[in-house]
Amino acid sequence: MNSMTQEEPKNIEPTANLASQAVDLSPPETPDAPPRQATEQSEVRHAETPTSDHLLGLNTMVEIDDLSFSYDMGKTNTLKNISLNIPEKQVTAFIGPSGCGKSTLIRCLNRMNDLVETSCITNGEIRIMGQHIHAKSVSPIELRKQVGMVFQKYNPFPKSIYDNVAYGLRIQGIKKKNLLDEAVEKSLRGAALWDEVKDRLKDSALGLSGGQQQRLCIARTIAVQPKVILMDEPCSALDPIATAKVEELIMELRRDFTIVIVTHSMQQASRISDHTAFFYLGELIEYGKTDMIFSNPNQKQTEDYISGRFG
Amino acid sequence: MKKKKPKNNPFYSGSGFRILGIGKQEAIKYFFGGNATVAIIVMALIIGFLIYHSANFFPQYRSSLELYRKSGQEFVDYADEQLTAQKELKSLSTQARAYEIKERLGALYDVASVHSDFKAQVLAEISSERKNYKRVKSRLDNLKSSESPSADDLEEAEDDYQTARESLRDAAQIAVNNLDYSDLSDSLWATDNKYLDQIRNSIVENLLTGEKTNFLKEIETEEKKMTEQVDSLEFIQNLVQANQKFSQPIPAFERYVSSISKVASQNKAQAVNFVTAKARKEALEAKLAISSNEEEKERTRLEIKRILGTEPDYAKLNEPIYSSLDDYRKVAEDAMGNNKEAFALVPDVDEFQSKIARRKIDHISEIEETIDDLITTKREQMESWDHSVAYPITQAITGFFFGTKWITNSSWQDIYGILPLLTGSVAVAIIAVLIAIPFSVGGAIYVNRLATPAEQHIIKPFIEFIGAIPSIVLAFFGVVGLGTIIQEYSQSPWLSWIPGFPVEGRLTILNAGLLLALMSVPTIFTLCEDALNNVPKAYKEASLALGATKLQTVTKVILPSCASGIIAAVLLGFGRIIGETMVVLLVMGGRIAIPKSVTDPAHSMTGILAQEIGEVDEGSLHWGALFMVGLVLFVIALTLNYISQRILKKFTQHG
Repeated sequence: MNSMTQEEPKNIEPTANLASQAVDLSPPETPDAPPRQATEQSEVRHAETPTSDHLLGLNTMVEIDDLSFSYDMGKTNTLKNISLNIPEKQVTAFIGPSGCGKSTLIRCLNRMNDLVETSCITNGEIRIMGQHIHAKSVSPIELRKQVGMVFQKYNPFPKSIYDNVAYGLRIQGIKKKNLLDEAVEKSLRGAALWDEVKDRLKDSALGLSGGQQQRLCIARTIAVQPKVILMDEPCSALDPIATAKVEELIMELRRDFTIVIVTHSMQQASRISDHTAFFYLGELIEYGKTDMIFSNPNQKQTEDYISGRFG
Repeated sequence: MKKKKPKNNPFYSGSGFRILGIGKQEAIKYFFGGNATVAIIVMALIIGFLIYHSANFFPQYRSSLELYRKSGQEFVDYADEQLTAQKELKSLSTQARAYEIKERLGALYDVASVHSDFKAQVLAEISSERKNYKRVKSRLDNLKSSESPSADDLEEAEDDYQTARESLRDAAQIAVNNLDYSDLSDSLWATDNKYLDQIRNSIVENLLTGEKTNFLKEIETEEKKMTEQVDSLEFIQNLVQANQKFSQPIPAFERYVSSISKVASQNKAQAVNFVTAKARKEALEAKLAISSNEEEKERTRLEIKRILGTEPDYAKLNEPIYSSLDDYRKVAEDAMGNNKEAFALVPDVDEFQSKIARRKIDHISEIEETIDDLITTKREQMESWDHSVAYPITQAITGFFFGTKWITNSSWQDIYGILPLLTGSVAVAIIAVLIAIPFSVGGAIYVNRLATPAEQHIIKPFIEFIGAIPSIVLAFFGVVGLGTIIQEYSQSPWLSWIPGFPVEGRLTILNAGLLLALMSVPTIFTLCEDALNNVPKAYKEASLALGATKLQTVTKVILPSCASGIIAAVLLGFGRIIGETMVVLLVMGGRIAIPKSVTDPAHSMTGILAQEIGEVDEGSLHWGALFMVGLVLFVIALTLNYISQRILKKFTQHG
């Protein structure tokens, strides 16, 4: 944690930073740390892909640097040499057909893929706030407190609404009732749910409607005050009205949080995101400002996908 | 009749293979439906069978108890209960003194026992030397006692005798030196190293001379001296006096009880004769009705006439019992007076060094609190006793469910009270579940949530394998191994804080409970794991994504959301244990009495069924009683199962 807060991520030069990381934090023998050579190669690729123009003037929150990822101990790569920077306090959407790796990538960002025994990073690295997140000194527990996640299927715990929101704080050891009350109200207001549930905080969360449950999950996530919120198709199980509410909420949240959203709906991506990355078969095809991607894509594949010719 | 394809039906399916109008799909449906129905029918038959055989029990039991009242046995038992309490006081005070002496004498107390035990072991080792020695010795004696022994022969025999004696001594010395305190056949004997060499030497000496050695004599005098010393302690003297006071009224009381019980026995014999006569008569009349042979008919008629049909005059028969009340008052007063003095003399618990003696003294003070009440209530019952009051069936029913005695095949009166069996079964099941819960639930949580796949592959089959051990094998281990282990380790002073320790016997509730815990671990473990598996994976992900550790996730999210599943698992484990037979039958000691602590022996409902069902007459009272026990057991198991199903159902609805 200390190292994260010390290094403020402002216009970091990837090479210099990486070098210092390699010396300070990650011992060279760890499989997570990429070999030096690979990084050099990726820099060459960086120059070719037109990804960084639209990020000028924005602070970078997440840097993904030539990342390759495998679910089967490196036999086949699910993600192939992905490099992109995610700007702070913006909404970044990942789009692409099923199986293109966008969900995998988002789950790399808070190391949820650690739960899969045979998964491994085969190349490259991810830095959040300048910190290489797969370094040995990084605790996934602390990482996940900073990088929250909202899942495809809303999954509130079978507890009361109040307990759901307070859960993240309680596990951090906060027990004072007034602190919890305050945080719960703030989070529920932040998730635009307060007015609907303020009279029944002690009721089971499972009694809420689908859209309410998903917003409760968002409230639960923002209660621990993360820097980044990852959303893995948050509206795919919701009806259009609930979706509209969640989208509205996301637009609100972008003021305080960096949001990364995976979505199948291109309309949704165009409505709510500032930046859009298009993935296909584990590769990043194109990354740019959302209106650029949707109006004037550089790549033919992107255009085909957006216009509905495949996918 | 063959169906034709309807012209306008494009969706017609050919009828295909049919027997009696039943198609293949329907046949399969009926087959499985039939199987399910058979299961239900069998279940219903079992319930019906249990109820059918036990239905007659209560009326039968009631009439048996009515005879018990009419013949005056009830009255006798009122008196007998007081006598039993009195006898227990006597025996407890005797035991307390004995245990205290054993404790204070320490190793000295058991030297004689150790000596004879070692000697027996040495004798087995050196049997051939001993035979030789005896042979040589008898030859020498013969020679000596003969009229004119030749000097040569005598000398030769003398030599032989000396060699045999030497070899016997050597062999005995070697054998005895090989023995150690760890070879003792009873590990509960107190030992002291300072006696070991003396005991060894004494055994050799004793083997050669065949006489009691000086060492043993010394030990005996010392033991006597020490015992006298202990006896001269003031509190022991008080205890001895109390013991005498407790014993004093017993002979008169015994004489009184035996005099009235003789009367009651005779009354009972007459009553039984009358009751069976009635039944016999009915049987003969039935025979008469179906018989066709004239001669046989005549004989049967005569037989019927010979059977005495008049009811005995119970009022007259019970006269001696009613008139004995004065005698009773005398002995009871005597007992109460003596007891009062005796209780004042019983020393304080803290005076005793032996833990078992303390327990006995505690028991005496327990009885002290209740015995006066016992005597007064019994006296009232005896004074208001009336043989002619009908025995209500409700009393027979409550007598069965709340009776504290289970007495069968008695020449006096069979009494069927389920309480000692029920408490035994429930106590052992509770102990087993309490021991099993941490292992099985903890194991399930560990294997399901925290362990690596490699650990899972080792632990799971092992736990499930426990379920494959035949219960008789476990019971055998309990009798031979675990019982001794518990008994030995319970003697060590650093465990004496546990209630009931040190354990007096090998076969106890605790022993059986430990084995049953082992047996129930696989059941609870598997069901718990199922419950854990039923928790949606999303809960785990959500919790981890909020920065919770694996442990926090398990305790704060997973466990609460499957708590009902775990409770159901534990209840089912409980049901499994209550129905278990072999272990409780063999390991629990089979004493039919309500256990006072977990280290007491006890009996169980399943145990009593297994033990007694083979040796009762079908349709008898005892038979009905056993089926009643079976029914109670069945109801308990059914209830547990039902409750756990309900809990599970609730769980799946909300999960």
